[in-house]
Amino acid sequence: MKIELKWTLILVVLIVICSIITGVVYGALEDKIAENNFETKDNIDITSLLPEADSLKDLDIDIPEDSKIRSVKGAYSNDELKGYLIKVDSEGAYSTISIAIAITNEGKISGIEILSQNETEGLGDKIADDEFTSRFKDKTAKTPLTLVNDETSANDEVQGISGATISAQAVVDGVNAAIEFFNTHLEGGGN
Amino acid sequence: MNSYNNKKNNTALLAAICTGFVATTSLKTALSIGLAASIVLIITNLIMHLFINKAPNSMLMLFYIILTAFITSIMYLIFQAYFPDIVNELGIYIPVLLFTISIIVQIFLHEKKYSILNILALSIGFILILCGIGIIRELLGGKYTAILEAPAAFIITGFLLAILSGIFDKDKKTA
Repeated sequence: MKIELKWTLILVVLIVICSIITGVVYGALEDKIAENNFETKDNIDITSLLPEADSLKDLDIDIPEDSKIRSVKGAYSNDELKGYLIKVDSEGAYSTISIAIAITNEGKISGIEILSQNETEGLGDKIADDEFTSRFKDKTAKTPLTLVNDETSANDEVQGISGATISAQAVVDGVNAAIEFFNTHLEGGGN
Repeated sequence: MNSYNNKKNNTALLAAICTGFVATTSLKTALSIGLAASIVLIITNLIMHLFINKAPNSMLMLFYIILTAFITSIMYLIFQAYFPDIVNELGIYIPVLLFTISIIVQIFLHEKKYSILNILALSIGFILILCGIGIIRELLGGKYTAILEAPAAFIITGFLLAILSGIFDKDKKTA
């Protein structure tokens, strides 16, 4: 009994030491890790979403604090504004889904891309596939989109993914937030 | 290498390799997981040197688990900081693989006479077999996508084991 108690204490001390070291290592590497996530998230090729544009520039626009919008950039081709790249964060079933949405000057969605997500493998993560993201292509950014189960019949409808309704709805919500922002702040807002 | 001819132990090692199959879709991931698992094993056993002859036998596994978990978390942090592309590919599988592999190998080592040389030999063998499977899957995977599916790894390993036990003596099956 005596020996067991001694070794139990040693075990506890070991756990504490290990935890402290892990904390210190995390503290030392934290910046580097954050930087890596930043890179994978924000490095997107604008030409793949908006073929006419070739560069991105920051716009001087105030983003409402409580909205899903994370950043708004103007997409330019030779200093001529072609459209906007809006990044939104939307709450999915298990994770925050980060989406980039490209909207042209004429108010048309030219493409979306899922920047990061951590949804169920095999079901929810299908939202990141081209098959799903291409369904948003050429939708008008005038009215909010709705998610439907069957084939789409109207231009403001998007076909969902069976078994991944919540994840797909989260993407649609994110896109709708971008559409709303586009209509209230960008299109008629003096830009 | 000493006698690795205990059938039960070989099965434990094989279980560890099968866990590593997740990472063998390409040479790069196979090599990184093999190396990382080896580092976890070696450091764990170096630290365990302090306890192995003193601690009561019933508590050794607890020490192993805590140390392995500790080193695995640190390895995962290092992966996240310096190898983001591997993290993108394997994600949460990295710590899961490292921990499972290390614990299974630890069970294997537990019944043997402890020596750091044993562990080194074992690690090298482990890296080699993972890389072997990784190379084959990467090369053939380009032509036949079925090779990249999980069951193909088991089939390839079966062939590799058959070839290895054909080359070496039947007692010296170093899986």
